[in-house]
Amino acid sequence: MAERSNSSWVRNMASFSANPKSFILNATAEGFLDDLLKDLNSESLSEQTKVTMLNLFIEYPTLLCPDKTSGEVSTEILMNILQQMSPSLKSITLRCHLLLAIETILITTDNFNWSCKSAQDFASLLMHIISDVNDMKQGAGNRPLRVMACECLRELENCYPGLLSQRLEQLYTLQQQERSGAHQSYLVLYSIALKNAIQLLAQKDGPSHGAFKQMLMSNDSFLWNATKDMKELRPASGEQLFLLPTNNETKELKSILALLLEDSYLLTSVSQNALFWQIIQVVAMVRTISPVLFKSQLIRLFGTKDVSCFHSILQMKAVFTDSLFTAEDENFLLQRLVGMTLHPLLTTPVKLFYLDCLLHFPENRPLNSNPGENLPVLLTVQMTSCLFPNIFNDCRTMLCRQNLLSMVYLENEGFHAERGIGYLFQHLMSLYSMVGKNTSREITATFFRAAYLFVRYFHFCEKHMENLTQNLLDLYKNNSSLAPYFINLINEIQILLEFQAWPSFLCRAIQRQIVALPVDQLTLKNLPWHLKVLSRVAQENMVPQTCAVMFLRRVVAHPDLCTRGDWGLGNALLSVCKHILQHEHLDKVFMPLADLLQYLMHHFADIDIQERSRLYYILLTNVSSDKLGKILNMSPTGDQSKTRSLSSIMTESENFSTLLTIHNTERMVLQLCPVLDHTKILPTYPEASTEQNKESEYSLEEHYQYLADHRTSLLALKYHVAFKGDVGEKYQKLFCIVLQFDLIDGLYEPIDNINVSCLYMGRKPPVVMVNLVPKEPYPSYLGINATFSTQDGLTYHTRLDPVPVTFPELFVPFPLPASCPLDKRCLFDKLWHGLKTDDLKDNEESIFCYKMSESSLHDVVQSNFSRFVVSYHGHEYKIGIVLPPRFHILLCSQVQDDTAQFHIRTDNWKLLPYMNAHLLDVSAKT
Amino acid sequence: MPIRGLWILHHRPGAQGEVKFSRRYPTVEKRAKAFNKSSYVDIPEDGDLLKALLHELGLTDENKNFVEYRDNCSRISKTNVHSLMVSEGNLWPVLAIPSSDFIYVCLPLVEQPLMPVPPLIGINSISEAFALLSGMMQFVNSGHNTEADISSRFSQLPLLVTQACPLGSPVDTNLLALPDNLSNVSSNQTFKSPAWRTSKQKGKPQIEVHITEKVTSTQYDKKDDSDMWQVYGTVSCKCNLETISPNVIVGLNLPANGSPLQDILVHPCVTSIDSSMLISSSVAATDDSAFNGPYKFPFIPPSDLFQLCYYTSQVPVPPILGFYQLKGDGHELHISAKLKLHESVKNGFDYCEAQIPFFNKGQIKHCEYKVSHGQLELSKEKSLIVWTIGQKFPKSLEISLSGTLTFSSEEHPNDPVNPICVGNTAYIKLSFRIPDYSLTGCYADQHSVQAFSTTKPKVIASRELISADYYIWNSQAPAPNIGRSLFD
Repeated sequence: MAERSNSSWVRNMASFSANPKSFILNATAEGFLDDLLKDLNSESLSEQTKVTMLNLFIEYPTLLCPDKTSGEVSTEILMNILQQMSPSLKSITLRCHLLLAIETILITTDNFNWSCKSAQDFASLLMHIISDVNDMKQGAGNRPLRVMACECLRELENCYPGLLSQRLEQLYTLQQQERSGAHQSYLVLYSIALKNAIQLLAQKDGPSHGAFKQMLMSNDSFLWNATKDMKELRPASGEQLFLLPTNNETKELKSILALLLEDSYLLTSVSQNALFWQIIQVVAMVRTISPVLFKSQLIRLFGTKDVSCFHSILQMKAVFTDSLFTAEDENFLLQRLVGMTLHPLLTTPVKLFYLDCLLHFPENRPLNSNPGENLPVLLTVQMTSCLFPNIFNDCRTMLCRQNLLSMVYLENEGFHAERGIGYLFQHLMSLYSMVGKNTSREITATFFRAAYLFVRYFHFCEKHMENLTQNLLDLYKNNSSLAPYFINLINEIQILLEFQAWPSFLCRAIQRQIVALPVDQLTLKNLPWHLKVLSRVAQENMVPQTCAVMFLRRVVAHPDLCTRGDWGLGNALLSVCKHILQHEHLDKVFMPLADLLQYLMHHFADIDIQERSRLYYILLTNVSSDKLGKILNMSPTGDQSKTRSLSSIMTESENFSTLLTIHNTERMVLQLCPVLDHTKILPTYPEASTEQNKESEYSLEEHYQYLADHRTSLLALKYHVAFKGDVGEKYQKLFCIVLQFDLIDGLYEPIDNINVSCLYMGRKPPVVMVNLVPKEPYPSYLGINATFSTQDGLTYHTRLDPVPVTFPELFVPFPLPASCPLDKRCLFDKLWHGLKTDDLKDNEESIFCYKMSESSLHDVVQSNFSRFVVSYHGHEYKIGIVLPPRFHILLCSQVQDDTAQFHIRTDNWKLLPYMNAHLLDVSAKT
Repeated sequence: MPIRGLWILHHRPGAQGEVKFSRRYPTVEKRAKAFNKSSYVDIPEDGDLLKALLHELGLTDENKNFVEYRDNCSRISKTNVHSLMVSEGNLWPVLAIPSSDFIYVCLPLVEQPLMPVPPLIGINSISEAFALLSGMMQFVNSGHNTEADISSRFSQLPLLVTQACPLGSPVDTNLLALPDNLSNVSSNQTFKSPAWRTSKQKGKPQIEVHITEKVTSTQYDKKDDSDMWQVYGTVSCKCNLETISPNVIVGLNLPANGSPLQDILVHPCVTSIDSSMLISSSVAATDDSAFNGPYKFPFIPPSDLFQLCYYTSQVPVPPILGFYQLKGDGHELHISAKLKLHESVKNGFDYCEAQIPFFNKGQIKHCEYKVSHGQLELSKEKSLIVWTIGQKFPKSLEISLSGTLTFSSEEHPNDPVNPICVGNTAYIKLSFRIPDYSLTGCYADQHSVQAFSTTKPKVIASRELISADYYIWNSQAPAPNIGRSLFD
């Protein structure tokens, strides 16, 4: 394959990044890896392009090199490229990226081991690069490469702990010598290697005397053994390893650690966090070194505004507790932390993070070991008094603060806590006053969440709970469309507080409020909401249902309701009945319910509702209440045979959701194949007809108007829906297939879903028609997803291969409006005249020539343009193509001197490159 | 410590989301598999990640009234860390921070199994994820906000991210000033240079110290609700010095009657802190003998403008005390307002105006008023009165406004609505700036700045007080409460 240009690579890489997996699956991707590797050597490509190419290796190494061998080969090639490059300043970015790419491929394709030569070369190269401390040999321009090499070694050491454990002395010297800004990479690298080396030592049974010194002084080769098994990475907070060397032995290590900490203030804050974390782990393992080592850093960290530095101190607190933090320190840290959660100059996400830290604060003497949210013992009511939520906070802050303060007031009894609870209730009420007054949905949801939290913590405060209930009732009265929020609140509180009466108390209160309503227009308007609520209330055995049934009877007696026969409403009515049928005290409502059902089956103007009312009536009058419950509660899960019988008994059941779970297919099952058009005959036009219809002539305005009026129906693409390859047995009969289309770019209007009733293996594939409405007539792809059900009643989702929409597929012949028996030739001539080149418009003329005989031209026209030919005589063909939404390409072609000439006119010059490519394509096939 | 991936997503309400930037770290991913074991969940492709995140953030089905997964009252998200439902399971911990039209996303590595879910405080890389995202945010928001500028910054992002976080472990988060490696290490240099880019511009050595204090206040003029006010300050610095690794000390002074600085937070370039500076805190009751300066900050300056420190303070009185009364119902309202500048505050404003908006009331048809000082203006939308007070309060330091407003009965679609200002609940919002003044009294000057360099740098010190959320609520109607005091 020829070398590609910069721009073609940029395009290619963009489509790769957009959808890497499908790109690789795609046939055009064959040889993509080879091309990449080859063109990285090319001199015509810019450095920027090559860097982007390497980024593909850095981000998607296993897609490009799916197996070990291809990984090895690729790294070899990249190593060669790197070694052949001159160490010029200009290429520094490229060289850095080469390092990263090689590193990434070696690790991810499991090639970083003793037996891989490039791995060995690479590791040695890295050590060689970093040994040029203080830019002595290569100058400051080379510093990025040294930093990158350090980072590569760091990642290797992270992936293969211990790899550098035998070279600690060298690493120590390097990090001591380096004085430029790059020293932080050396320092962090050394600290990681040191931590891992000590970890290795601790894993051995009883390390020998002097092992520490030996470790620190080691100046050997790489420990290739460490690369054997990567699955053995030790969790940071797993079972704690430890060592108990004598003070004499740790003297050196201690001074090294002190030196590392001393330089820590010169590091960026994220690197400080990394360094501290390594040293924390070292000190945690070597028990004879006291954590007091960190004391010198604490004040600086206490005062930092940086999130990673402050997190470091919290981590020290978690690991060392009272061996580093006295009770006073602990109190101070807690105070700082609370201060951070409300500091006006920190961002909200960071403050929320600190609030979360506060509830998981590592205490010196925790009272319990509950892994969830805990209030630190030292946190007082006074300390948190500034954390009061108010309605000007963002919703998340409001809720988090409410949650925290609720815990505080629950923990601390007394006057202040009492008052605090009162204030929290007032806050809830301020939120309440905002709901339903043109507020955003977010405020509504936040109010219900705040109510949930309040009930969770303070359900025992009768005064407030009564108040809350009353306010909720008022809210429902003024805003019944909030019914789903009410139902959700009741459900969730019931799950949370199993034996609390409040939810059912609220149910009863709302029920009373609803059944007391007059049957007027407003009630009828809100009836769907009321029915939803009543249906939920009917599930409460503690709430008597007589009044609800009476209310329903009053409602159905309303003259309009039954005659209109709204199925949805009937369904909602029956849903209430269904739940009452299962009510514990069904006997008390037996008669009125029977009346209601009977009334519905005789008067409700929807046949389905009548049938179901009859069924319920029969069940009510014939089946004992035990059995009723069982029949109505049949669960669709488990037993497949019941699946289909459900719809007759269930109205709307949450249980359906189990059936509605959509499964993903393991692989592609379906595909769309374009239906080929076989019309290859040139139409015949009687010569005489030209003169006939002069009076019913069709103006260009009318033509454009026609295109605009019919824009949605002009272009219909036909496809076969077919199985893709061999599919598993369960996919051989598919039902209710819904095809959904994603548009990759915004060239076309969104495409409606298409339903296909069934697809059987072995039968003729059904044809679907996609009505494409281009906004711009350029080729593109259609992304397609399908959901379907299989014979066992399960629903699946699958992705299809994207279907290309080629340029010729966007062609439409001149339309023939029924009202206007038009002559296409006439229209062609008018357009031809109208599309002369014009600088002001997008009109353009062009000519395309190709060597061919007259008969070849005939073949070309017949097989590719037969639908678009408006006239031909002699050997001149006039071809008129419409490209929806409103563009045209007109062709006049004939053969002169053995050369076919296509004169092209268009009203959109941007189409010419596509047309040329198409003509070249079809001509070349002759 | 490392992160598994970084993304920037674009999302506008009503429009389809888009992935603007994405970076994965396959070697870290490999470690994640080893650490998380059976609880490991693979990162989906960008498009699927986008969908899952928008779903989790409740940004889908925007027009629907109630959607269980989104609006469930027990679903209370407490941080910006989310668990995304993807095809393989739940991807956690995904840090997602929205900022203007973008959502910045980072997935840190958790070096242990994810079940049971460990608390965030124990995940080492979570804070690095915060830092990295904030660095990216700063970079994207730097400079002009035109589409072309933003897209040019996005095109620079891949290279910068590779430099700041080459293999998943971040080495720096300030994308605007990554080390440029131009400074040579002199062979006889004995000290180590800082890892950040330091100043070494040519030209006159100069140090700028700028103190910006903001004051917020909520005033009710009621017995039950106590008024609230707070001051917080930012000290920004820009140093132009020649030496490779200069050390600078900036000192902040307080006059004898100044208010002590609390909750001091310093920039990481500050090399050491005097512990007495940290003791005063808004959280705990402080004793009267609190430290009151000078506050000294020794640091190695970064090359660009940076925030040396943040602080808050409690001043005894708000700079402007006001009351506001709005009475009447239907279409006629009577308003009266009084503002008083405290005598200790400098009477010299850059600007000072009071905005008096009217929500849920329709347009102002007629307005009759009397002001003792300044001018009154009706806005174009006819729902807001602006009282321009100007550069100075009169000698009495007190100004007043009274007037009668008539509202037209017809409704306009663009009339402002507000869920809080219902009925006669209303406010006056003050905005002002006093140059060369700070409420705490805090200042820096030529003598309080020291630099250890060959030539003595010029020191430019300035300060200002700016209002932020300065509200005076109508005392004749209920008002939302902000400050709650349990102890009085």
